[in-house]
Amino acid sequence: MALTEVSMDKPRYIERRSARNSSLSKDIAQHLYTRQLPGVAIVVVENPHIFMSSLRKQWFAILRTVQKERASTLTSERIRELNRQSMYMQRVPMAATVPDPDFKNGVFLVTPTQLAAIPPALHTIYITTPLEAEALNELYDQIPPHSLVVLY
Amino acid sequence: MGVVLTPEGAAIEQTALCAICRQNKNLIVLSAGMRDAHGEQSFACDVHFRDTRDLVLGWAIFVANQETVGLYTYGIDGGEYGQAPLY
Repeated sequence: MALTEVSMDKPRYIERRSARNSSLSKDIAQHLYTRQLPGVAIVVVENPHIFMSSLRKQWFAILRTVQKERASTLTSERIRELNRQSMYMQRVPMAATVPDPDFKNGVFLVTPTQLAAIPPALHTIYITTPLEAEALNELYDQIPPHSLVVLY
Repeated sequence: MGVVLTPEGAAIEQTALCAICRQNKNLIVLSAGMRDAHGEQSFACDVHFRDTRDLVLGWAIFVANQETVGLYTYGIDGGEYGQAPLY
């Protein structure tokens, strides 16, 4: 979708990524690690249940790296920093379902057809499947200001 | 590729600091991360994603720094940013 087709009346961030050098799930897990915002993140995929196991695997691989680094350092400041990351990563819930509007935190994987049912209060949405321009513009209008849309 | 559109307009005309290497770069080579202690969007170079260890360590340091900044600037309850990103 060309950027000229995106309506500019609502502030938001749009990021384009490619997973050429790594797997898609690894790239999303790394990106989620840098987001670390309280709230809901959505991943739009064709097959949420299959993709979730891959995403969880990559998420825990990053967690292992954090714990390995924590174990190998003697600097108290660095241990504190990595402890915080480790605790944060273990607390993030992941599910292959449309989140309930009451959910305040977590990563949810949905299919493109479930997109209309997602709650508007989210901070990041990863789109890994091609969507029609109309559906994308509807999504852009629905999401809160300053949220991030990542297009693969 | 990185950020292509921001609330301020096309990213090609904008630059920002990478939270990990502190270099000023065009947004097109940066990836959007969390919001900092002041609620501003932070960014990381796309190249840091090639090395998980580099990303993990760099980002852990950045997050801890932002916590300290938030603590000293807005107090233990996060002040007016009590509802916002880091807290």
